[in-house]
Amino acid sequence: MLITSCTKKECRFPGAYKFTIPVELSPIKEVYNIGDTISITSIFSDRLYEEKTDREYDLVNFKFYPAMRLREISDSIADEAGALYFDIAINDEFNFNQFNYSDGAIGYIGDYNYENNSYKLNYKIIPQSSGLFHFSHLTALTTLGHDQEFEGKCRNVDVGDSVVELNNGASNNFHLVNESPDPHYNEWMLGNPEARFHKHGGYCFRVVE
Amino acid sequence: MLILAAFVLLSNACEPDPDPEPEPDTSIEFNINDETHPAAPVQTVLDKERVNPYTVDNMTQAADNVYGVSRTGGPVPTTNLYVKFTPSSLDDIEAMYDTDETFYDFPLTREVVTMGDYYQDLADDEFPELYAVVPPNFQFPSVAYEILAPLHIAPYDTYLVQEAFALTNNTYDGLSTQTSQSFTICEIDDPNYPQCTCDQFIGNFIAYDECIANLTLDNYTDPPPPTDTSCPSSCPTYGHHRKPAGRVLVEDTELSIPGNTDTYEPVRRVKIIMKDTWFTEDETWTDDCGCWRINDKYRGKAWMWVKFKNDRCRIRGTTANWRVIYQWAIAVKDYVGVINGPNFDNINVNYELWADQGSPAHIYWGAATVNNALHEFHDYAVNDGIDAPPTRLDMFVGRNVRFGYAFMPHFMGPQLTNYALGNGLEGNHFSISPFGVLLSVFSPLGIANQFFPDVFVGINFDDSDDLKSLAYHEIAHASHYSNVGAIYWSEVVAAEVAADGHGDLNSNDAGRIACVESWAEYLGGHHYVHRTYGINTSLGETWEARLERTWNETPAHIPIGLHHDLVDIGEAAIPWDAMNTACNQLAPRCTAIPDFVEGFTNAQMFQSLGSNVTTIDQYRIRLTNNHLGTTTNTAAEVDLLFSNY
Repeated sequence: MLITSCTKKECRFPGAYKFTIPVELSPIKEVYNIGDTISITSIFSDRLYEEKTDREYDLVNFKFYPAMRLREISDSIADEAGALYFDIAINDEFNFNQFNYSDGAIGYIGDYNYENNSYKLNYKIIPQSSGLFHFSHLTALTTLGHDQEFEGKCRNVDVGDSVVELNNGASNNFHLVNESPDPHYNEWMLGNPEARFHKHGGYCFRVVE
Repeated sequence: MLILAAFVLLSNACEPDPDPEPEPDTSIEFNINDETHPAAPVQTVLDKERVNPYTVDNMTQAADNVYGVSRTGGPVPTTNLYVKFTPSSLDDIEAMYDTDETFYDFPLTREVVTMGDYYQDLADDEFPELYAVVPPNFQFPSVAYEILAPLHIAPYDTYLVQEAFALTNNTYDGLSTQTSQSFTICEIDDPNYPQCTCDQFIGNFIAYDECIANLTLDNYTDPPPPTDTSCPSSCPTYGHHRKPAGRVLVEDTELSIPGNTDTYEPVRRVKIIMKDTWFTEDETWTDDCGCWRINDKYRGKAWMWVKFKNDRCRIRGTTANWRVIYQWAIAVKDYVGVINGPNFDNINVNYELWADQGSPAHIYWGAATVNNALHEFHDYAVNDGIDAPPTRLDMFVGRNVRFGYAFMPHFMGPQLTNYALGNGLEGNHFSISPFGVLLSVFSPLGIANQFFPDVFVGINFDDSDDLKSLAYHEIAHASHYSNVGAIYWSEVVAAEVAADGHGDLNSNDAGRIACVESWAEYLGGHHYVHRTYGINTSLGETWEARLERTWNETPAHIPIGLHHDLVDIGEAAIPWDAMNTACNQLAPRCTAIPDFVEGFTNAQMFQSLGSNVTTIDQYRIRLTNNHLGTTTNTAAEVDLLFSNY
């Protein structure tokens, strides 16, 4: 007997929606000096590309729950409080604040500003100490806000995930993860660079005096 | 559980197989995404009926021919019964499931041209005829059956079976190097070892039979599971290439490297079924390293299945299309393939990440991942001192959704289940939607009564940690059920059915929903995921970090972050003055939560969520009254924390 599913064809895809969020980091360099200013800018229209369905959707006043992490990775166990080695400059217009995790990690979380059909968030990081660093700019849509609605959304399909495309898909100094003695970087990330590094807006760099 | 007297080696009745010597270091790989597993279920193709050589009548004649005057006369004993069952309802299927027997939907006396996933074409509400080989003292369930033949299954590499095959004109390819009843030295290298140790009794049938029986008992003492968490690079075998052994693995998107099976995770405690072309089957289970082995020699061809069933659970689930109602009721069973000997001792099955929703690859990957989640939860529960889920949990993996539920109907019983589901369960209810194709045959309540599992887990995930999060969440409910009992749980289900989910602050019995859902999302949805994955996640940060950013599920309802804040280091101890902001999981609102509480344990929180606790405030009172003294917290600090959720 043939039993067919009543799920619409365009709604039959693995997992959840995966939107692409553009972010730019500049200047792109492998080595920075203490005191250099690194700008992170994410400005994009509310018409966003979705990878699974290969089409664009209008995401009006959406919550992306962005987060930024800085980790110092030159030891065998990365320092999750790498943000302490930077001055973080965030304009008052943005809701993007430091978050102290109970395990000692430090991140920045908040949201985009939504104005004139456009999303905007930018901030600057200014290194204050030398080291090998891993930066990432990600969203928390897998666990927060995954049931948000938008026009054309399939029922029973979550927002679920997003890809942060940093610097238009550049390598973002991925090779530097090899120089970390921490196996999370020199083994685990190497095992699947797209999913474990690039998807979360990964970027590696050195800071020297 | 049936372990057949499985010392018969393999025959191929129609086409004699060349039977070359085993080659060392030969492995057989079955990868779910390659040509060994078709993209859709395949129908079994059968050929002609064969004359059964193993009937008691034929084996008696063969014994008379072989042993002649030394025989004591009379028929040889019946070792097994070949039976056809004719189930006519899902209750019948359930009764057959309870026997733990292995059933086949094709007659075992027919020649198999192509083994597939199903044989009989059935209408919507039809049930297949099912065949099995059972012991003579089998306790038959209340299902119509017919004994097709009493059998005497003797070891294949014996003159007795050789003669039985000759009498029925079946091709026999055992004892190929022996042309007379001359005895060889019986040592471990002998292909017929250890059965050949009984050759000294040939001519005295009763003594020979007892010798074989004793061998069988000795041979089925499997080693205990490994006591440490490390697994060997290669699985143990029974030391002979003809004795099947191997490993079952699943790709974990966070812990594995795609395509590198050395990095895959073991599939724990699933049933392995090996079968020859007649009546002999062997069953065993993978250990916690995914390893399995069978102390029986195979020859020629053998078929292998992996069945997602063990003493802790069975996992049901259907692929898209070409499925009948009956198949919604049985455990997921992967026909792995045919193994053409002579090497059987390194058979590896790899369940890689799926690509096509509803494909067999999707169902097997999902079942393997959820299966492992259950066993991991058991481990964590022991470590934490909380109740494990009930055993013999009935689970269902749903291919097209990403939600789950744990209604526990088989433990609540029909009366409480009907009470819990009876009001408000309509065809568009979320819990019905995964079974929606059955609405043409059953009412919503009929679907609930016949098909609802204890634990339902949607598997439309392409990240293992996401799927584990949902599976742990639902299994945490089953564990909580062990704590609070059936009556309490029936109220949980009634409230969530009425609310069409978790509801909100104003839903009926919202306090009870808040207690059970916040606990499951904390413990299973985040905390145990963090234990499994640590920093290696699909999130870009840890699941514990994500938990720390989580406030309620919806405003003032289901305080997910509360339990973690009761455990983790209090904010006062953090040497920075930033306030920590947490957000509701589903509603876009965030807040700063002052948390000066730490040091409660999972066991204390679990004990405090007992059957007399139906609101978060009752939870606070019980936790404070019973466990505050074991911590450094003050009641005021605890009250402050609760007040912020």
